[in-house]
Amino acid sequence: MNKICKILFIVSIIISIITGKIVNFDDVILNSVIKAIKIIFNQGVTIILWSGFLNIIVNQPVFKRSNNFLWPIIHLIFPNLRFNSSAKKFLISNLITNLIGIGSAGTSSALMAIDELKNEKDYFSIMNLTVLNTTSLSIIPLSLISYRKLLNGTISSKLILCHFLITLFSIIMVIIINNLDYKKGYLCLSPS
Amino acid sequence: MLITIIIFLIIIVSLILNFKINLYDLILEGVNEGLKQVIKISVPIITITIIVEIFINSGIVDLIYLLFPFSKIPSEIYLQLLIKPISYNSSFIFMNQIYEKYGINHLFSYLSTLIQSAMDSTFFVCALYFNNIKNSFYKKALKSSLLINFFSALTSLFLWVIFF
Repeated sequence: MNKICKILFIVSIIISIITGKIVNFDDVILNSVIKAIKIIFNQGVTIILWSGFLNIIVNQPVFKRSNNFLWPIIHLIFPNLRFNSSAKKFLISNLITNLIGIGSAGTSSALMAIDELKNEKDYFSIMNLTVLNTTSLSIIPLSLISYRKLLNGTISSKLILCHFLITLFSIIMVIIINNLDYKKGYLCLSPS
Repeated sequence: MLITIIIFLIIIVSLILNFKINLYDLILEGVNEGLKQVIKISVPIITITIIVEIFINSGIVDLIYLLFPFSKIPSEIYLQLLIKPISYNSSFIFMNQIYEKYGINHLFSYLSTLIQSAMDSTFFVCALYFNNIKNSFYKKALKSSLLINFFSALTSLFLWVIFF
């Protein structure tokens, strides 16, 4: 991340000198902090809210039983995950909430899963989870549909079908890449 | 979104009715965990937002516009594709520009919607999830995510050509 930030920063400075936007630099920095605070506030409220609700669900006997039922799917996406891992319930809730379109609840469960995986030193599964969450992972893109509705746009069934196919493709890609990495032996990488 | 929330609440109510649970304690525990997470993720969110905002406002958009002057597909689509892994909000702005320029039910607007829903802001997610973890898995996660983003974008373009 240090390298990426360094490159982005240097490139930004050079381009802003070329385009003459360097004069607005202080405004941009100040506004970006305000924007970041707004993001934290919006994300934070939803994370706190959904953490409360999710904690009820993941502690139910029905959910615990479904963990075993969903294990083959979870193991396919997270090949390095142990069966008795305490992160399993959070990974399942992350997958389900993302698929049904509650992305904010997904973030909350993902962060909880990462905490558990960190304790278990299972960095490979953290990598798998990150890759999974950077893809489009909802069966129906509810937020975009509601936005299009707001602007009086048509919600064509083709659009929903296309999104579903893209989601399916992304999940298949995630499974292939995660399993290829696992077979290649990325476990040998030192978590220094 | 409303339908999902209603379904979620129905599930919770049915669980409460079926099992004897300590509702207050569970919500308290969950909220406490959530609050801890929010405090933890605040610092990387501020850092990545500052870097991304400096990058987006540096004039890079004007330069990218110059790269695709004669393409049949509007340059906003290319910009959206390039900016999406870095910033969700900026790519959302390009989607809005396409909606305004061509109308919401235009073919290009459908393509833009597909691109917007096809991937997430990769850099942001990676920075958030790999907060305080410094190891080689981060690089691999970023590479794999960008690769999947690239193929998702290609798939959305392919599906758009087929279906629209």
